[in-house]
Amino acid sequence: MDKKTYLNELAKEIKSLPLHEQKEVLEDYEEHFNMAQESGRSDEDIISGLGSPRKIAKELLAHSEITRAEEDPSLSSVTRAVFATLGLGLFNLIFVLAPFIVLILIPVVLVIVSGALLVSPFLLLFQDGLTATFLKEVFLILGLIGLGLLFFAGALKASRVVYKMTLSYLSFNLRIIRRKYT
Amino acid sequence: MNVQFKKGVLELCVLVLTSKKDRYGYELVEEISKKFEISEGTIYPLVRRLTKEGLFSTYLMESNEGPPRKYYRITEKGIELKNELLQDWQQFTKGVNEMLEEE
Repeated sequence: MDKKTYLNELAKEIKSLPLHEQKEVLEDYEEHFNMAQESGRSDEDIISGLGSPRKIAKELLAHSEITRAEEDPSLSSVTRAVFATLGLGLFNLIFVLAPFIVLILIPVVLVIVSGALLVSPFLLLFQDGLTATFLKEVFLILGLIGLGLLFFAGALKASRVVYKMTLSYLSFNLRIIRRKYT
Repeated sequence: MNVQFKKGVLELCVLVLTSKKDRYGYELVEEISKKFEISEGTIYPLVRRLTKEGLFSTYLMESNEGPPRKYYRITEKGIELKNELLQDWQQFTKGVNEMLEEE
Protein backbone atom coordinates (compact mmCIF):
# COMPACT_ATOMS: atom_id res chain seq x y z
CA MET A 1 0.00 0.00 0.00
CA ASP A 2 1.19 3.53 -0.66
CA LYS A 3 0.14 6.94 0.58
CA LYS A 4 -2.54 7.40 -2.05
CA THR A 5 -4.24 4.06 -1.44
CA TYR A 6 -4.08 4.60 2.30
CA LEU A 7 -5.70 8.02 2.13
CA ASN A 8 -8.32 6.75 -0.32
CA GLU A 9 -9.19 3.94 2.00
CA LEU A 10 -9.42 6.29 4.95
CA ALA A 11 -11.64 8.60 2.89
CA LYS A 12 -13.97 5.70 2.19
CA GLU A 13 -14.14 4.70 5.85
CA ILE A 14 -15.10 8.16 7.09
CA LYS A 15 -17.79 8.87 4.50
CA SER A 16 -20.43 9.21 7.20
CA LEU A 17 -18.69 12.14 8.89
CA PRO A 18 -19.78 15.69 7.98
CA LEU A 19 -18.03 16.86 4.82
CA HIS A 20 -15.85 19.53 6.42
CA GLU A 21 -14.65 17.00 8.98
CA GLN A 22 -13.76 14.48 6.30
CA LYS A 23 -11.67 17.15 4.65
CA GLU A 24 -9.90 18.11 7.87
CA VAL A 25 -9.13 14.53 8.80
CA LEU A 26 -7.66 13.78 5.39
CA GLU A 27 -5.59 16.95 5.58
CA ASP A 28 -4.22 15.87 8.96
CA TYR A 29 -3.09 12.51 7.63
CA GLU A 30 -1.79 13.99 4.43
CA GLU A 31 0.32 16.35 6.53
CA HIS A 32 1.51 13.37 8.55
CA PHE A 33 2.61 11.59 5.38
CA ASN A 34 4.36 14.66 4.02
CA MET A 35 6.28 15.32 7.19
CA ALA A 36 7.22 11.70 7.72
CA GLN A 37 8.42 11.47 4.13
CA GLU A 38 10.53 14.57 4.67
CA SER A 39 12.25 12.89 7.57
CA GLY A 40 13.16 10.07 5.22
CA ARG A 41 10.62 7.42 6.10
CA SER A 42 9.18 5.12 3.47
CA ASP A 43 5.42 4.95 2.80
CA GLU A 44 5.41 1.42 4.10
CA ASP A 45 7.02 2.42 7.36
CA ILE A 46 4.64 5.36 7.79
CA ILE A 47 1.61 3.19 7.15
CA SER A 48 2.63 0.50 9.58
CA GLY A 49 3.11 3.23 12.18
CA LEU A 50 -0.32 4.70 11.57
CA GLY A 51 -2.31 1.50 11.87
CA SER A 52 -5.24 0.54 9.70
CA PRO A 53 -7.55 3.22 8.25
CA ARG A 54 -10.50 1.28 9.63
CA LYS A 55 -9.23 1.55 13.18
CA ILE A 56 -8.70 5.27 12.85
CA ALA A 57 -12.13 5.68 11.27
CA LYS A 58 -13.83 3.73 14.06
CA GLU A 59 -12.38 6.06 16.61
CA LEU A 60 -13.36 9.18 14.70
CA LEU A 61 -16.87 7.91 14.00
CA ALA A 62 -17.48 7.02 17.63
CA HIS A 63 -16.54 10.54 18.72
CA SER A 64 -18.72 12.04 16.08
CA GLU A 65 -21.72 9.89 17.07
CA ILE A 66 -21.26 10.73 20.74
CA THR A 67 -21.17 14.45 20.02
CA ARG A 68 -24.25 14.17 17.85
CA ALA A 69 -26.12 12.20 20.50
CA GLU A 70 -25.23 14.73 23.17
CA GLU A 71 -26.37 17.62 21.05
CA ASP A 72 -29.59 15.94 19.97
CA PRO A 73 -30.49 12.95 22.15
CA SER A 74 -33.00 10.81 20.29
CA LEU A 75 -33.39 7.06 20.39
CA SER A 76 -31.63 6.61 17.07
CA SER A 77 -28.75 9.02 17.71
CA VAL A 78 -28.06 7.63 21.18
CA THR A 79 -28.29 4.03 19.97
CA ARG A 80 -25.88 4.78 17.16
CA ALA A 81 -23.45 6.37 19.59
CA VAL A 82 -23.61 3.45 21.98
CA PHE A 83 -23.02 0.94 19.22
CA ALA A 84 -20.22 2.96 17.67
CA THR A 85 -18.50 2.99 21.04
CA LEU A 86 -19.09 -0.73 21.48
CA GLY A 87 -17.03 -1.15 18.33
CA LEU A 88 -14.04 0.24 20.18
CA GLY A 89 -14.20 -2.55 22.72
CA LEU A 90 -14.59 -0.18 25.63
CA PHE A 91 -17.94 -1.41 26.71
CA ASN A 92 -19.65 -4.73 27.07
CA LEU A 93 -22.52 -5.39 24.72
CA ILE A 94 -24.49 -7.39 27.28
CA PHE A 95 -24.86 -4.43 29.65
CA VAL A 96 -26.44 -2.36 26.97
CA LEU A 97 -28.48 -5.03 25.27
CA ALA A 98 -30.00 -7.11 28.08
CA PRO A 99 -32.17 -4.46 29.78
CA PHE A 100 -32.97 -3.04 26.38
CA ILE A 101 -34.42 -6.35 25.16
CA VAL A 102 -36.49 -6.79 28.31
CA LEU A 103 -37.86 -3.29 27.96
CA ILE A 104 -38.71 -3.69 24.32
CA LEU A 105 -40.53 -6.98 24.99
CA ILE A 106 -43.23 -5.34 27.11
CA PRO A 107 -44.97 -3.37 24.33
CA VAL A 108 -44.30 -6.16 21.83
CA VAL A 109 -46.16 -8.68 24.01
CA LEU A 110 -49.01 -6.24 24.59
CA VAL A 111 -49.39 -5.65 20.87
CA ILE A 112 -49.45 -9.39 20.16
CA VAL A 113 -52.09 -10.00 22.84
CA SER A 114 -54.26 -7.17 21.60
CA GLY A 115 -53.88 -8.35 18.02
CA ALA A 116 -54.98 -11.86 18.97
CA LEU A 117 -58.00 -10.54 20.85
CA LEU A 118 -59.07 -8.27 18.03
CA VAL A 119 -58.73 -10.94 15.41
CA SER A 120 -60.29 -13.81 17.37
CA PRO A 121 -63.98 -13.10 16.50
CA PHE A 122 -63.13 -12.92 12.82
CA LEU A 123 -61.21 -16.15 13.01
CA LEU A 124 -64.23 -17.78 14.63
CA LEU A 125 -66.45 -16.41 11.91
CA PHE A 126 -64.08 -17.65 9.28
CA GLN A 127 -63.87 -21.07 10.85
CA ASP A 128 -67.52 -21.79 11.57
CA GLY A 129 -69.37 -19.38 9.36
CA LEU A 130 -72.27 -17.34 10.70
CA THR A 131 -73.80 -19.84 13.13
CA ALA A 132 -76.27 -19.53 15.94
CA THR A 133 -73.48 -19.88 18.50
CA PHE A 134 -71.70 -16.95 16.96
CA LEU A 135 -74.77 -14.76 17.29
CA LYS A 136 -75.44 -15.99 20.80
CA GLU A 137 -71.95 -15.10 21.90
CA VAL A 138 -72.02 -11.66 20.34
CA PHE A 139 -71.56 -9.92 23.71
CA LEU A 140 -68.59 -12.08 24.56
CA ILE A 141 -67.17 -11.22 21.16
CA LEU A 142 -67.72 -7.51 21.63
CA GLY A 143 -66.09 -7.89 25.01
CA LEU A 144 -63.05 -9.53 23.45
CA ILE A 145 -62.75 -6.73 20.93
CA GLY A 146 -63.06 -4.17 23.68
CA LEU A 147 -60.36 -5.91 25.68
CA GLY A 148 -58.20 -6.02 22.57
CA LEU A 149 -58.57 -2.29 22.14
CA LEU A 150 -57.68 -1.74 25.79
CA PHE A 151 -54.56 -3.82 25.39
CA PHE A 152 -53.70 -1.89 22.29
CA ALA A 153 -54.03 1.41 24.13
CA GLY A 154 -51.89 -0.10 26.88
CA ALA A 155 -49.27 -1.11 24.32
CA LEU A 156 -49.15 2.42 22.93
CA LYS A 157 -48.73 3.87 26.39
CA ALA A 158 -46.13 1.24 27.31
CA SER A 159 -44.12 1.85 24.19
CA ARG A 160 -43.98 5.56 24.97
CA VAL A 161 -42.75 4.78 28.47
CA VAL A 162 -40.28 2.23 27.13
CA TYR A 163 -39.03 4.75 24.59
CA LYS A 164 -38.31 7.24 27.35
CA MET A 165 -36.71 4.65 29.61
CA THR A 166 -34.55 3.25 26.83
CA LEU A 167 -33.41 6.68 25.87
CA SER A 168 -32.41 7.57 29.40
CA TYR A 169 -30.78 4.18 29.93
CA LEU A 170 -28.70 4.48 26.79
CA SER A 171 -27.78 8.07 27.63
CA PHE A 172 -26.67 6.83 31.01
CA ASN A 173 -24.45 4.23 29.32
CA LEU A 174 -23.08 6.89 27.08
CA ARG A 175 -22.15 9.09 30.02
CA ILE A 176 -20.27 6.18 31.59
CA ILE A 177 -18.46 5.45 28.36
CA ARG A 178 -17.65 9.10 27.92
CA ARG A 179 -16.19 9.40 31.38
CA LYS A 180 -14.11 6.29 30.85
CA TYR A 181 -13.11 7.45 27.49
CA THR A 182 -11.97 10.97 28.11
CA MET B 1 -1.18 -1.87 28.07
CA ASN B 2 -4.83 -1.38 29.00
CA VAL B 3 -6.57 0.62 26.28
CA GLN B 4 -8.29 3.06 28.57
CA PHE B 5 -5.24 3.58 30.69
CA LYS B 6 -3.08 4.27 27.68
CA LYS B 7 -5.65 6.70 26.29
CA GLY B 8 -5.61 8.72 29.48
CA VAL B 9 -1.82 8.79 29.52
CA LEU B 10 -1.64 9.88 25.89
CA GLU B 11 -4.05 12.68 26.62
CA LEU B 12 -1.84 13.88 29.44
CA CYS B 13 1.27 13.67 27.22
CA VAL B 14 -0.34 15.71 24.47
CA LEU B 15 -1.52 18.35 26.95
CA VAL B 16 1.89 18.57 28.63
CA LEU B 17 3.74 18.85 25.30
CA THR B 18 1.48 21.62 24.02
CA SER B 19 1.63 23.50 27.30
CA LYS B 20 5.37 24.00 26.71
CA LYS B 21 4.91 25.45 23.23
CA ASP B 22 2.54 25.27 20.26
CA ARG B 23 2.96 22.03 18.37
CA TYR B 24 2.04 20.61 15.00
CA GLY B 25 0.58 17.13 14.70
CA TYR B 26 3.63 15.27 13.49
CA GLU B 27 5.75 16.88 16.17
CA LEU B 28 3.44 15.43 18.85
CA VAL B 29 3.63 12.01 17.24
CA GLU B 30 7.43 12.19 17.08
CA GLU B 31 7.92 13.44 20.63
CA ILE B 32 5.74 10.73 22.10
CA SER B 33 7.12 7.97 19.85
CA LYS B 34 10.59 8.84 21.11
CA LYS B 35 9.59 7.83 24.62
CA PHE B 36 7.32 4.85 24.12
CA GLU B 37 5.61 2.89 21.41
CA ILE B 38 2.29 4.21 20.17
CA SER B 39 0.06 3.62 17.21
CA GLU B 40 0.82 6.92 15.48
CA GLY B 41 -2.58 7.11 13.85
CA THR B 42 -4.39 7.49 17.18
CA ILE B 43 -2.81 10.82 18.06
CA TYR B 44 -4.78 12.70 15.40
CA PRO B 45 -8.26 11.59 16.51
CA LEU B 46 -7.22 12.37 20.08
CA VAL B 47 -6.02 15.87 19.27
CA ARG B 48 -9.12 16.40 17.16
CA ARG B 49 -11.37 15.52 20.05
CA LEU B 50 -9.46 17.75 22.45
CA THR B 51 -9.73 20.59 19.96
CA LYS B 52 -13.47 20.07 19.64
CA GLU B 53 -13.78 20.13 23.40
CA GLY B 54 -12.11 23.51 23.42
CA LEU B 55 -8.82 22.43 24.98
CA PHE B 56 -6.80 23.49 21.94
CA SER B 57 -7.13 26.16 19.31
CA THR B 58 -5.53 25.64 15.91
CA TYR B 59 -3.87 27.81 13.31
CA LEU B 60 -1.95 27.28 10.10
CA MET B 61 1.60 28.51 9.79
CA GLU B 62 3.95 28.47 6.82
CA SER B 63 7.01 26.30 7.16
CA ASN B 64 10.36 26.54 5.40
CA GLU B 65 9.91 23.11 3.95
CA GLY B 66 6.71 22.25 2.15
CA PRO B 67 3.09 23.31 2.76
CA PRO B 68 1.80 25.12 5.89
CA ARG B 69 1.43 23.13 9.09
CA LYS B 70 -1.48 23.00 11.46
CA TYR B 71 -0.42 24.10 14.93
CA TYR B 72 -2.20 23.36 18.17
CA ARG B 73 -2.23 25.90 20.99
CA ILE B 74 -3.46 24.94 24.44
CA THR B 75 -6.33 27.04 25.86
CA GLU B 76 -7.08 28.07 29.46
CA LYS B 77 -9.45 25.15 29.70
CA GLY B 78 -6.73 22.86 28.38
CA ILE B 79 -4.29 24.05 31.01
CA GLU B 80 -6.85 23.44 33.73
CA LEU B 81 -7.40 19.88 32.55
CA LYS B 82 -3.66 19.34 32.23
CA ASN B 83 -3.13 20.34 35.86
CA GLU B 84 -5.94 18.10 36.98
CA LEU B 85 -4.63 15.08 35.05
CA LEU B 86 -1.10 15.79 36.17
CA GLN B 87 -2.19 15.68 39.80
CA ASP B 88 -3.98 12.37 39.22
CA TRP B 89 -0.93 10.99 37.51
CA GLN B 90 1.48 12.04 40.25
CA GLN B 91 -0.75 10.62 42.93
CA PHE B 92 -1.04 7.39 40.97
CA THR B 93 2.69 6.92 40.29
CA LYS B 94 3.52 7.88 43.88
CA GLY B 95 1.21 5.14 45.10
CA VAL B 96 2.64 2.56 42.74
CA ASN B 97 6.22 3.50 43.60
CA GLU B 98 5.55 3.26 47.30
CA MET B 99 4.10 -0.18 46.81
CA LEU B 100 7.17 -1.24 44.85
CA GLU B 101 9.53 0.06 47.54
CA GLU B 102 7.68 -1.77 50.26
CA GLU B 103 8.66 -5.08 48.67
